[in-house]
Amino acid sequence: MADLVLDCRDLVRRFDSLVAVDGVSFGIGPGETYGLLGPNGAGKTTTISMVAGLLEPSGGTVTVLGQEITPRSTTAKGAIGLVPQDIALYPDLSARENLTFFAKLQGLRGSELATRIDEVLDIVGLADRAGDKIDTYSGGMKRRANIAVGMVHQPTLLILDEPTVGVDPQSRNAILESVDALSTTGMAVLYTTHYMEEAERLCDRIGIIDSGKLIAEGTREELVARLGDSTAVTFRADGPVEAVRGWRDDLSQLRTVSTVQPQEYGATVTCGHASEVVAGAFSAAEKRGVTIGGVDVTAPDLEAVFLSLTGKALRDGS
Amino acid sequence: MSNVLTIGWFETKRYLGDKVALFTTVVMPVLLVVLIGLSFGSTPDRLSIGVLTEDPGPAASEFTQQLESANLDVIDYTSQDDLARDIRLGFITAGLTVPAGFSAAADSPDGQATVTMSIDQTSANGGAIASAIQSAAAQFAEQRNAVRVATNALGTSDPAVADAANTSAQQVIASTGETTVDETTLGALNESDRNGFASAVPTQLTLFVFLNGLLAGMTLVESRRLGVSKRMLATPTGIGPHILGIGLGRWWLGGIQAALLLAIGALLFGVDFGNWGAVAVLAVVWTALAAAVGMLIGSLARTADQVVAISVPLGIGMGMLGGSMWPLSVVPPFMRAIAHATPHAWANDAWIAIIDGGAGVGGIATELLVLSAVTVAMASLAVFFLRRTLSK
Ligand SMILES: Nc1ncnc2c1ncn2[C@@H]1O[C@H](COP(=O)(O)OP(=O)(O)O)[C@@H](O)[C@H]1O
Ligand SMILES: [Mg+2]
Repeated sequence: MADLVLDCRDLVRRFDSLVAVDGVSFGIGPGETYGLLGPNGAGKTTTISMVAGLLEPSGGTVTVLGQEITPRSTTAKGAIGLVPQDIALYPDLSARENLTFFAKLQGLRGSELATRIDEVLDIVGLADRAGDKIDTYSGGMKRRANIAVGMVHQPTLLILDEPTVGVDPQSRNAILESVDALSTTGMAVLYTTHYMEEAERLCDRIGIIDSGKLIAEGTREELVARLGDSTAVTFRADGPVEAVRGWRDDLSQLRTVSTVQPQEYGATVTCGHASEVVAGAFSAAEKRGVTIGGVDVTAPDLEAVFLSLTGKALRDGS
Repeated sequence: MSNVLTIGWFETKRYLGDKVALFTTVVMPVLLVVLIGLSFGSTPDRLSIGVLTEDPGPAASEFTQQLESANLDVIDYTSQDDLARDIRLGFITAGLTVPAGFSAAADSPDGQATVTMSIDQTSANGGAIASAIQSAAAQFAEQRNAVRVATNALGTSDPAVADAANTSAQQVIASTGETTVDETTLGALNESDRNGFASAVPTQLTLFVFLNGLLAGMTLVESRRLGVSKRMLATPTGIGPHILGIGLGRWWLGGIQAALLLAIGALLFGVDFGNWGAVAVLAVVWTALAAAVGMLIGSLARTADQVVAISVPLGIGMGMLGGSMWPLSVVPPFMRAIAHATPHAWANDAWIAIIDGGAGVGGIATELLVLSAVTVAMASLAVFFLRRTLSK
């Protein structure tokens, strides 16, 4: 345990009566990329704010490299690089000037400062626009500059809060590639996202967070294995509202079905024996006067894990 | 400490890139100092005097015109009391009364007419004004005489009459009419009519440096809105250094503003500020105070618009109350006491002590102490409130 870069113990944060983070504990080792996966409002940003020493926990502790982090810590924060969810840069200064500013606050000087700035500009692919003001950048470029600032001082722990939200696919890919590249430098990364694919692609270990609670943790394989041989089957179905509702109830009665998630047209079911469930679903539909227009069978993934743990989809509306 | 400097330096850099902000810090106060300095009178080439005309005749108005063409700004008065009061208050340096019967006297054969001049003895411009009035009066008399010569000579080409006109002109010149200026003196009750810039520079400095300091609160609000504040706090930078840094950026900008106003006063308008050490210390403390109040406003306000909405009335209101719009020597004693609830009154007192009383740093120690205490208190409150705002 002493080797952990980040150690969070029983973190709690209340906002009045709302418990935004409810007893979250996890650790990240050196060079490890840890994903905090959860839907909007799950408590990811609140957790990260406590880890970065911006928010006072209502309970629990954060330790980075053995030093406790609170809003009053100063030198200990030098080990952390934070990339906030929203762009936090001076729009009237260039990327290079923003980098210089934050690198200086981190104590970098002279040739080390200049070298590091050039390095991170290269990593995020902004070297040729480094002298331009941030407010002349596209959304994706701003995000990349935002990331560069977080890692300019080579932190031991880099925290990225949903760095790809609202970004065009090209920039998104560039961002994912640069984060992927970091894992080879030995930097520990805490990466939050509500995109299952990003967590699967980047993270060595994933913590699934919902309603302020860390409900499962492990490698992708470990998490999926928790489902047993469970498979997600999505039916597209049409018919009278009452009939469809009744049909969904029938689905939940079928053997090996663990969850039934209503969809706008149909339902998604997690189950042990897909073929048996599909057959059962068709015969139930016929009795109810419901038409099944299509069936989609997906091998278990984190989406299915989330569904089976919470009974709801990771991303609302998609 | 080095983070304070870094933040201060980058704030300055950003500020210098903002042309509008630069205009309000530098160009505006300089323009206002020049305007106010000029209108509170007494540049050597344009002096204002009050004139009370009790005579409705044409000669009286010609006399007034003569004063105006002698480069005197004539302000009309309708009562002797008003005229005397304004001289005492230092709004004007001299007053002329053109008595009833002036026109008749000027037009009489001997042309002997008299006006009464009251003058503030203590004014640096008193002498200049008196001699300007004297020469205007002399010119007026000469003109009347010339008119009389011409009238006498008019209407004939007969050599005999020309002879007569010549004689007549000689007679007229022999009995040259005079417009006499009777001089009395009044002591002014206050110091506001020294070189106009000697009061315009420090009062406008107090007013504008303070106002700009308050508006610096916008920087803090902006820094929060951009998320840069939180990002700074995620580095090894505490809330104290964060505020000090942003305040520092404004502190030295306020210093530049103050230095500019003082330099213009001294070099362009010949104000004698006296002890420059005391001037510098006072200006430095005042700019720090302004920045500290600005940081307090910035830590409480939610938007930049709120900062403006608070700062402008506060800055101008405190300036008015504290003697930056008119000298505290003209307000009743209870108002003077109330005025000292504003830092402006203390600063203005200190300026008067330096410029008029020749005080050094020791002579304004009380004022400096009060102003420094206010600065520390404001900065501490700013840290307290910003910590609260940012932890939400
Ligand atoms: N400053 C705050 N005041 C009150 N409630 C907050 C505050 N910040 C976050 N919350 C609430 O806490 C919950 C978790 O929010 P957040 O950590 O931002 O979620 P996520 O980053 O996973 O989307 C949400 O219900 C959110 O509304
Ligand atoms: Mg968030």
